Amino acid sequence: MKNSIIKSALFLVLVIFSTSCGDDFLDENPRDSLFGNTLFVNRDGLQQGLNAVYALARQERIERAGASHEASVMWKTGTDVAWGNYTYASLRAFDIYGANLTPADGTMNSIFNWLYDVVNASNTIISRSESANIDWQGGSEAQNLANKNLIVAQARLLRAWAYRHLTGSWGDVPLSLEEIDGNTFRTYWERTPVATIQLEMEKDWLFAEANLPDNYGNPSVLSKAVAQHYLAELYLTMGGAENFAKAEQKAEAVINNPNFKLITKRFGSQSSQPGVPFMDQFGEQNALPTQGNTETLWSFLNAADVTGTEDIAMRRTWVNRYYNLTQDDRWAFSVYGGRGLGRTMHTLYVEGLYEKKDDRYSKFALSKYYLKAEGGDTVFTKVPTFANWKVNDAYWPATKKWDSYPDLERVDNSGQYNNMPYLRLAETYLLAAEAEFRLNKLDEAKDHINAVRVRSNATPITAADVTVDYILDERARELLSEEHRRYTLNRFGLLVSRTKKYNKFSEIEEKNKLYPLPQDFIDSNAGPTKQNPGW
Amino acid sequence: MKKFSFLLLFCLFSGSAALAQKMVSGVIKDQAGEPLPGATVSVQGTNKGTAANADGAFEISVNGATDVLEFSFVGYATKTITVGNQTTINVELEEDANALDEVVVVGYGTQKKSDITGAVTSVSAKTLEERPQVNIGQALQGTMPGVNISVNSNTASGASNGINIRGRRSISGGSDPLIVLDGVIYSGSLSDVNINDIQNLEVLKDASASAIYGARGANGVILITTKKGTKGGKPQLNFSTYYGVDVPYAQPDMMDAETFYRRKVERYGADFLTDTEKDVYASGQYADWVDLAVRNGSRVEHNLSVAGGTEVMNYFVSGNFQNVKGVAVNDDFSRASFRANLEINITDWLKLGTNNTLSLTDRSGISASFTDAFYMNPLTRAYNEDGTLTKLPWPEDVGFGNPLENTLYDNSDKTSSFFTNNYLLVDFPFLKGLSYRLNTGYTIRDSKEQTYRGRNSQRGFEANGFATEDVADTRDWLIENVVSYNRSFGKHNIFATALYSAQQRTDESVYIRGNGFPNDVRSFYQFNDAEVLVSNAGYSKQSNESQMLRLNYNYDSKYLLTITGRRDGYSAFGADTKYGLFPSVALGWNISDEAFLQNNRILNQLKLRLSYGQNGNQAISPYRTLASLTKEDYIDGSGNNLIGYRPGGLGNGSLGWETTTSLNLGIDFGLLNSRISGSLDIYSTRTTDLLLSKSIPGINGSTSIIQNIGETKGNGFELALNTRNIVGKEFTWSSQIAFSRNLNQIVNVGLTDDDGNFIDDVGSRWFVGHPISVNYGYVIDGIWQTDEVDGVNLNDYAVKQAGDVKYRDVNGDQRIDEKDRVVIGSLQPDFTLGFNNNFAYKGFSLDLFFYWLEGVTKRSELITTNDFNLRRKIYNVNYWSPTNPTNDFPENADRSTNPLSGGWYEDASFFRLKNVTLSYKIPQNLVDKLRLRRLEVYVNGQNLFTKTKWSGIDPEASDQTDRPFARTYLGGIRLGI
Repeated sequence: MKNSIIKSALFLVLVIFSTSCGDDFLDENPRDSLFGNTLFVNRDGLQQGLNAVYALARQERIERAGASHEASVMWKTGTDVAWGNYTYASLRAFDIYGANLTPADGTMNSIFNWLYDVVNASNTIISRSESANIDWQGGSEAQNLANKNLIVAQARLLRAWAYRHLTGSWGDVPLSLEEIDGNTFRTYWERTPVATIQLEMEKDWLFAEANLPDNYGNPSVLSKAVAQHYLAELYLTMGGAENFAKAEQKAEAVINNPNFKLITKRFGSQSSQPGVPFMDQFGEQNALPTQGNTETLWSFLNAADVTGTEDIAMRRTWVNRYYNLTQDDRWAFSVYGGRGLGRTMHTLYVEGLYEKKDDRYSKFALSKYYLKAEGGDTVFTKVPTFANWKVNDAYWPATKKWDSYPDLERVDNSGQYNNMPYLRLAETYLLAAEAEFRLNKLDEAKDHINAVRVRSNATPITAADVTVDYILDERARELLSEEHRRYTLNRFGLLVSRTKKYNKFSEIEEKNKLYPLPQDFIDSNAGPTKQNPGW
Repeated sequence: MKKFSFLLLFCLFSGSAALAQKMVSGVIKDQAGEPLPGATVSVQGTNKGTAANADGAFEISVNGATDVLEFSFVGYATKTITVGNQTTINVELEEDANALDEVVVVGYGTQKKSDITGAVTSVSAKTLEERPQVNIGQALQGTMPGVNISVNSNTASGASNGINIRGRRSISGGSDPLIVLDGVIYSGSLSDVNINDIQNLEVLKDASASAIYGARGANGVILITTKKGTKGGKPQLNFSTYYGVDVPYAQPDMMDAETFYRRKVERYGADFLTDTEKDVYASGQYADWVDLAVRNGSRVEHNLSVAGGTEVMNYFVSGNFQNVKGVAVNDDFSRASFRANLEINITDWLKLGTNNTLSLTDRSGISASFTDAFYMNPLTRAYNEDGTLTKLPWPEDVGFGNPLENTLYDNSDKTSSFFTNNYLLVDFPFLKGLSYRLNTGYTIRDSKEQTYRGRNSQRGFEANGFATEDVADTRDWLIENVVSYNRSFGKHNIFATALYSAQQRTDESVYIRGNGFPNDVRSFYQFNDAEVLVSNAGYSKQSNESQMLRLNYNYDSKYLLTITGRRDGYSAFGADTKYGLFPSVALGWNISDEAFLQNNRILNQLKLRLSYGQNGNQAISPYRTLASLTKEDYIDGSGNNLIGYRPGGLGNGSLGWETTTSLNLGIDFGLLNSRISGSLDIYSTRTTDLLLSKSIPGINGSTSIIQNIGETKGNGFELALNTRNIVGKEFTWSSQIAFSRNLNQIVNVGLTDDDGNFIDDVGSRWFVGHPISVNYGYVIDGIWQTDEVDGVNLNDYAVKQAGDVKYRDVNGDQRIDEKDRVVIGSLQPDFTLGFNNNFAYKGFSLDLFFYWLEGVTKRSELITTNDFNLRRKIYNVNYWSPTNPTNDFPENADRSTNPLSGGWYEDASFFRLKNVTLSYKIPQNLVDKLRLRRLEVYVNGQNLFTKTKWSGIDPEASDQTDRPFARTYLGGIRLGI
């Protein structure tokens, strides 16, 4: 009996502990995934990391968190220059403010998090580039260093670009400059003063300026001109005579760069058809320097039917619902580039800014009428009086900057899949003029403004015409639907007053100078989260 | 521990020596004189037992005249007979759905139910037979206390069920119980299991019972045993078939076309309507989108099985075919399954067995988008003049496609699965009671879904044909070595089990998507001509390694003790945290076997159970401890792709399992000769180290990270009550009640305030002291009335004017902001109650099953201000107006009347007559004439009556814009040869 129990006990123990799989039985090897330590080990891998940051930055013009308008209307509409035409609940937060905008706004929360995705993806490249083990694939020490600096410069340029939006929208925000992983993440964040962040942005852009190419010959590598442009804007924002001088100097550096010139003559794919030089920049296959566009500093690259494609929402946001005007013939209207949702339009104020002869007010730049492909009546757009200015107006003329690239096969696709100018030299001219106005160099300011005006056949101005209002007017005329108007107006302290004056739909008040800190951030942060003033 | 060992040894050695043996044989029959194949015979106080063959015959060796034989069978009252001088004992068992003494499967072995110390509940083949369902989950709803099943959607496959045991304890991990099929941890789908093949189904609920499954048992364990043939039995053929129809019911009161038109004109004026809307309105040919997407469903099943055996082997083979047409147009499901179970006795100490099932399912066809259909503008056109579906039902608002478009797609969705379980059983001749079982399982599951969207659909038209193909395969193997020692020494009974097991599952998938095809002719077989082709390949592997020791000891079957320990390793956990140890201990006392209760006329059965132990939940899927990069491609200047990767999330290399510690106190009782019997269990659980995807500031490049933080606790009360209310010669009435009350709540989610108190994670909607899932938001207290707004700054209340919603100022600061958001109602029921009644009269049997769920509040998705400027229709709400000062719904106006998106909540409790079956057993003399063994016809109705205050499609539906629920009317026949 005793024997049998011992025997069986031994047998049990034997079975349990003698059988065992190999030591590596429970090891994991995810064969379909890539990881930082398997990809970011050489130049090619870090370049792929950089490609992703470019792709993230391009998302400024996609629909985010269920919205059906580009993300950056958050910085464009609800100002003196743009209002919500066909608006709806989640857009009213940006168009109208008031009770529509709360810290919990889903689109705003999503934009905040996206910008920090850009920051962290850039930080990852910047941090990992410092490792001594990276194979820079240069073949020589000098070339290795050049390869490294080129990649880091782009990552730093894009990181500072994200902080430009973050500080411009929310003011003081947490500052993160290192890669964050599962061991280093933090739930405690404090808001860093804007001034401190601006110093980091300056450093990033100065590094980028020193290490990026002079020209934009490779459209997937930004040039130093972009860094200089943003530096000019940054110095204007920081203010003070010394900074204004720096701003002028950086803007001039771009303007005097022989690789970049304002478009003053017809060019590109539509140049044989009637048109104006100004609008050729936005023409089909005209967005890149390699296609003859000397004015673009940064174009968002896109193409249909590849995995790197992105659904860009400029048309849906800025093109009006012309199809509502002739309900019987939707497909015919596809010659106008597919369907707009008429979310956001320029204001009556902008409409009244142009001279009749200004190319930017021509039928090539603003939709004056619609033709049916199969014949029938021409439908003319109409601008109402201030009193009759109402929402849901399909007759309101729209900018044609995002109108081209019709693709009859894809007329109902939401997105647009072409290269698009994002940052233009014309804006650099206007930054230069602004700096010179601040420095009381009105002649130089006038010249820079006139360069932009004359190209569009507008009457040149005199030095005496250069005022704050005039600079703002010219920016509105030139950069309709492109400009991050909030930042411009906040730079002059005029966001609330001008919006109140020119935008009859907005309920803007003092607290709207900054957006409220996102509720998701407040809820999840263990650090002090004092809301912005008034919120 | 040492003391205990001595006690154990003492017990072991006090056993008495064996006496001379003799054989006893006989036949076991039921009251009607029909043999009971599979009924078990055992010698009391030993683990010796056998089963009756197909003719009900048995043979067993006994030690002497004083031995007591115990006869038991599922669904019958156990009988005991002292052997005495008899060598032939014929037994008649009385039917009794409440038998307490059958042998039950407990995982890695079987035990007599009276010897069990854990909380185990079971369902027999007979109960399942009364509920003709496609999916097991639906058949089980309400039958077992503590086993909570929700029918989330009325799909043809019946597979949209949520199953949890004793509530949800894990926040991010699943709450699905572990399923063990014929002893093998089963990774397949319950949809692949033929209900008719199930002999019995047991659920292990408490720690003691499920601890043997260690890190995988925290959500409870469902053990499914398929039917076996009986040794030496004649072949028995069973055939059953049914046909039924499903009739949809309870359409919510959405705005009809007339109302929609009126509301729109009221808000915007008649000019605002588009030409299509005006034309459709004038024509009166409104589109009732939901109606177009719904049909009467049907279901048919044929099942054929043969069971039998010889002296050396037994077999069970079956074939099953099901074809279901769901109530949604195009929602079809068919399944063919085949089973072969075989057991061979090679010698009297060596047995080989195999259980195999092949299942082929076909879910081809995509039903309409019900979300679109529910909200779609009725003043639009579903069909062109030629009878084809419109691509754009509302040409002026092309954002709205045709909700029925999916039904045009060519779709093939097929799965084949093969599951084989092979085992070798050795009863070591040299050491009595010692046995070894080698158990293996292998699952193959291959699925392929192909879809082609042709040019007749909007999507296909725009893409010039759009095809996808999704191929996935799963391979899963399991090897178990189980050594058991099962022996009695006098009144000391020992049952020890040791296990080593390893399991590995590999999932692979390939996905292809293409568009731009020359024509539609070849449907999804033309990828070679695609203009654009995108593909992806996936791979995932998970491995488990486990060791387990279990000791059952009882003295005279009166005092019971179970001790278990299991060590588990799981590949998905972090490198240093892969292994966990899960112990449990349980005690039982069969009080009714004590002298003072012997022959008690009132209380014939009483048992106390107490268990305490720990289980794990491996709540994460493979590779979650690693932070893989996310693909984010860009483009170069020539339109070529540039591959890009960015940080996608945060990995946490120290993740481990979640641990549930639970305490269970149970009483099993039988009164009045088991006229009333049942079990009562109370329990409390505490789950720690919850794997939580914790919200973190987006500054980290990710808004969440998974951590072992947090804790939930729960307690509950379960009652299973079986009563035989009337037991007559010809008429009987019996009832079964399954009552569950389970309350789980969050204790902490890893956040503390400055004083160290646990606080809510509002971002994730986790609230301390509340269940895991809650309704959360602003409370709507009605509508601001015209006479209330004077002198009130409505801006402070987040609205504009009278007619807007009135949010509740929860904190009373005369201002509405996010501090006024609160938890609203509860998504966790106060209780659920299953109540079954069976009436039998002669050959007739009537089964009535009621299901009651009480105390759930849900947000109505149909009552919403999110109407897209009346481009979408909503529920037929009672709008406020100056002349209709209601508090039901805000004004019909073109402004944000509900800017904070508050919701309307309703009581989703319900009481339902879920199942009615009336069957008639053709009298035996008639059946004999037909040369049959058994012949039965029945009719069945499901969901015949529901009482609820809920306004949506069904209070159980997880999505209110989904296919309607249905009443099922079904008739069938069962025959045996």
